[in-house]
Amino acid sequence: MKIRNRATGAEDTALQMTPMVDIVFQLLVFFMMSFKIVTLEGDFNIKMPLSNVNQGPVDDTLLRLDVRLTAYETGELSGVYFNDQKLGSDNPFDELHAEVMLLAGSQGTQNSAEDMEAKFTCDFDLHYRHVIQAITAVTGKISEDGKIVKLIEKISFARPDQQTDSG
Amino acid sequence: MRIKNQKATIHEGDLTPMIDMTFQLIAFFMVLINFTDTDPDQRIQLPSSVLAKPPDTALDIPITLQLTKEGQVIIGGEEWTIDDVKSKLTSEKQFLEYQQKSATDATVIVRADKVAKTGLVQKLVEVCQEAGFEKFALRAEQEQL
Repeated sequence: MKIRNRATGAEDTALQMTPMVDIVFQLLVFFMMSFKIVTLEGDFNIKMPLSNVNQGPVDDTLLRLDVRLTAYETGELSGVYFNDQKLGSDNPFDELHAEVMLLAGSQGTQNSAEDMEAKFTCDFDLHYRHVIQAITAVTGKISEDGKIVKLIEKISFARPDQQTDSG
Repeated sequence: MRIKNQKATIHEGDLTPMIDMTFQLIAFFMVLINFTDTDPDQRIQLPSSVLAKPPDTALDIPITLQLTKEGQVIIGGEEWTIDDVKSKLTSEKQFLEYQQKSATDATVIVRADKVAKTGLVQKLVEVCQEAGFEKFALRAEQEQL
């Protein structure tokens, strides 16, 4: 059997890296341009059928809490009322949260936070962030271990009040 | 003058580390990229809340409405007035019914600017209710503790 001498005809075969590097860089540029840094977002879920807009809660077993937010003409918060009582501290939302916690705790198992509904009445010009602050105060808290403890989950809105405080 | 015969030599750098890094960068961007249908509009600055955690499961039928502080509603990149949104939502409802689904199954995500008037947000919600939608999600930015 004849064995060819391969050593004499062997040539170095160098792979052409250039096309692959070109494509790889194009992919890199594409992903870099498409990349967006976004902050994490979450939702407050609210179920509000049309029939309940003006009629209020149908379920009589629910303990209804009225939260009223008033605003200056500029849209800044002028007052927070909880069951027609004005919360007078420097941070009314902390006070609102304390009131809700007190109610949820004092009612025991018979009227837990699940049996409560918070109805918000807000001035028309009020900045939306204050509404989110109020919803945050009544819907839950962050426990020491970083978990969310839910309070009132049923939330509804009354029709907005056109009147605002002139101060 | 004597000119030296300079023999041209090709210096090939080692490309392997660079290609390794490039592939790692590509993998990084590929993992983090998300192609969402509704791009958050840069004009809208969401209110922040410590309770606003990203949901564990994605919503079944999300419809995102973005409300600017001027009161314009942005749906899928198009600007609408609040009064005109109803016609758009009605067509969305008809599309859902065509797919054997109901408007009550859909969740309307409201991304309103933090200094938008609350009255306008509520007006937008009312327009959605009149179109037959019941479930709403008020979106907020996660506040770092």
